[in-house]
Amino acid sequence: MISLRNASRWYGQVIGINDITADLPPGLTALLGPNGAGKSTLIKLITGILRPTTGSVLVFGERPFANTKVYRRLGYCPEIDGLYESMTGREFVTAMAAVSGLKGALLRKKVDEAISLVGMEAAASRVIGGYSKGMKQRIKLAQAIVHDPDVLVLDEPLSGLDPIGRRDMTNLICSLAQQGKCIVVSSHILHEVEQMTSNILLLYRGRLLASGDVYHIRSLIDKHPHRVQIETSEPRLLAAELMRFPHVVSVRFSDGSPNQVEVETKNPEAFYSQLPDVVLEGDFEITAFESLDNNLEAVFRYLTEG
Amino acid sequence: MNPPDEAQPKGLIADLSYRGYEGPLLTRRFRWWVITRNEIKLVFRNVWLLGLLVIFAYLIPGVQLYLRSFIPPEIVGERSFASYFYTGYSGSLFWLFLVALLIGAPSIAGDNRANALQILLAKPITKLDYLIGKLAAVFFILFGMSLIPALALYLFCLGSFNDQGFSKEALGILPRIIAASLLPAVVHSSVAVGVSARSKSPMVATAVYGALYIALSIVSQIASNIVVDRGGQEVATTVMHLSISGVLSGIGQHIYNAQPSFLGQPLRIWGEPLPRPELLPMVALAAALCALGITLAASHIQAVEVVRD
Repeated sequence: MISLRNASRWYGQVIGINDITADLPPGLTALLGPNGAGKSTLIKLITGILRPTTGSVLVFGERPFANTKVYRRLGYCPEIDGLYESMTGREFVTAMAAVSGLKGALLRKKVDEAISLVGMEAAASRVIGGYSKGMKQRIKLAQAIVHDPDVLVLDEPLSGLDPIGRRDMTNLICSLAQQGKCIVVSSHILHEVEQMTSNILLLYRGRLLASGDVYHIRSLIDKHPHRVQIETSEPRLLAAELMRFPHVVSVRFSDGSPNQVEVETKNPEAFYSQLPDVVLEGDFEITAFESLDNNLEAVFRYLTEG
Repeated sequence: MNPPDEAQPKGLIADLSYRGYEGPLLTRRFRWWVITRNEIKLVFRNVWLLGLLVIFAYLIPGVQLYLRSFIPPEIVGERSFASYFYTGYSGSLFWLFLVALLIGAPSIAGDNRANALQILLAKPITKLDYLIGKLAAVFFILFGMSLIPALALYLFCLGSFNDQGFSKEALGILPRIIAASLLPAVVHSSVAVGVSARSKSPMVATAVYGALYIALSIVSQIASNIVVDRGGQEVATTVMHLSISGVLSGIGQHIYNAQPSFLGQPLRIWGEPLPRPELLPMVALAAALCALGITLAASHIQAVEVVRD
């Protein structure tokens, strides 16, 4: 449905994206990358808001830039949430549905369906200015799906949502993907993406770093020692217990935080399954626990630095 | 690692079977109208009260006409009915400027500020549809606010002054009313929307348009004084009208074939009745202002992201 061939986009001297070639099939594909990786630029190329400087971007086999044929079948939910704050949610979705070409009874039906799908029936008559961040995300999604597009592009749809809002939005996006739509979601948080899809495009500094199955990329990470930071009242005793495991390769204590111990393991799965037993048997009080490599930055570090 | 949720699709692709497109196949023939209607709806929620003020501008000639029935012509002077309409028209110009300031200048800037263009320009409308929609919204509102009170005065005259000769002028006045209502609507909508498209803040756009309107009036006044000092009194009136307000007033005088007056007496300048400005430079300036405004707007409509504090 979406095809990129050596697509590049420069903003003057600054590279937005550089020489990206990829095909995005039906189903859910995530654009993953830290801030400034080029995700939003890529999304703007797909939605036809920007034109590639070189290369080509095709959606349904057509160039999307200012192409109303493509826009009829495309829904876009941008990251920003300014919107028309004096309008009610229903008015906003209705206006966007009308711009998309719907009218009359069909328009009203589709608006009702879209509002219902995003769970905004109760708040649809309130002005957008009084909405929470999550409500704004939902109403933005409603305007994007109201005309039943085949391609849905969502720029950071989980940004700013609370955990319940994230779960609801994730379920909603997954259910749309199950309907056979081509959904492109951008995010800079790995575990968010993992909950939605395994198919990712990994962007870094404007380049396509990796594409494919996120679990495969995960396994690349797992080949490297994995760092876990634990905060406990007895860090040295806990470290001694953990050092008994053959997959633990090092422990380190922090000068600044005397209650912290950083453990490095070659087998994270084994470590995570054995850690509760060690804690219970030794009656350790754990006050904080963090996987230092369980984030996108770690993925990029492994992929770029080897 | 979080295992995939049961609810999510299995594998990379959920459904590879052919799926027919079920959305609307054709976009609206007049897509710009959707933008226009939406804008008008938003505007009337906020500034409809201001529209009522335009009606007050036409109350003055209404009262003058009413008094004319009781006061002998030798006291009030002989005036055509069209001149009363000009009085109402010239009085409405200030209010129309305020309306343009409040609805025209923020129209596209408001969308820029709301980041609405990112959503709108990913819909099946073109930039031209969007521009026409915005221009049309401001135009229709200003046209309506200018036309409706003038028509009300017209109906008042038709009902009350036929025996005093209004019936002879009635047919000629109607197209003049329409032309005079079109003029400020066209000029204000073009220039204000042009200014608006350049700005990412409605307040800035409003301030810029207000400053432009006032500054051009001041500059044209100063320029006309300089022209008079250099002995060019015959062109001084025309130079005095080389501004947005001046153009609207000057062309309005030609439309109604009227002189600017106060309480029935012609306004004087440098001891002489104020002459009408030359029509051609007025029309040329009005056309140039409109073209400039529309060109500015067309070249600056783009989906830029505005980050708010």
